[in-house]
Amino acid sequence: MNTQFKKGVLELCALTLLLGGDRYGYELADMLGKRLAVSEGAVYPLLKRLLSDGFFEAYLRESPSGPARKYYRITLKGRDRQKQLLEQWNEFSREVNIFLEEEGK
Amino acid sequence: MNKADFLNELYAYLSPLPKKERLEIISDFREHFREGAADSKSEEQICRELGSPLECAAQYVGEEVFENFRKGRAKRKKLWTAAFVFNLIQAVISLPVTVALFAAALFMGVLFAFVIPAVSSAAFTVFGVSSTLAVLFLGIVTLLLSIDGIRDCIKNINK
Repeated sequence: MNTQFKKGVLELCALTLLLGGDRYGYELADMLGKRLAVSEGAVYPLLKRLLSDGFFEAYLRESPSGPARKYYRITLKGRDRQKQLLEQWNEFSREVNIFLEEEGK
Repeated sequence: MNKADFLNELYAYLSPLPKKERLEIISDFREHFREGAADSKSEEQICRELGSPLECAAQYVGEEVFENFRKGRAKRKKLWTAAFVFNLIQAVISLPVTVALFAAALFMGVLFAFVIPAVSSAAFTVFGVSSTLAVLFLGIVTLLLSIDGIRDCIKNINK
């Protein structure tokens, strides 16, 4: 899949993942990397951008083993962003499906 | 590739960024290696899953370049607005002053050229005419200023 396209989808998935509760960087990288077949290293630049855009907040929390982990929490602004991206995605995938059905015959 | 190689390479590729930011990024990746190890993955496997350090760094540096570009544009827009307001004030203030000065020059010209000579001396007339010319000169200067202000306003709008 095209990397630019994947990046947009990756953002939607990261935002959606945090709707279910706070997570730390490794969890996010692991889940997104495996499920979407992107390199896990691409998740960290995305997290940084989501922080600087105010969609995420970060905080440190002690982990049962070893030093504190950096956790990410979605903000109200992030929830709005998720809604907006989800609508765009639904609209886009609907259009693509219609296109493929009509033109693929 | 192992953890040390990965972090060293990443740090080197991040060199366009400020040091504080580079260290923050490196600390995120250190945490990733730590958690990966706790997840019983080898350093090599973690590196493979992360992708190349160059690709990771390119995304950070790309964001930075884009962000700087956006900030620069916002700043230019602000400067442009300030210039426009200044020109507008210049045009609005100098126009009435111009009109008033020309009216005063006309009045003084009539007074000193016709009325006063009829009742007074030549020296007084010379003084009167020269001060009329001075007021006329001020009128021309403010007229030029207001024309300049209006022209700059139009120029800004067309930009």
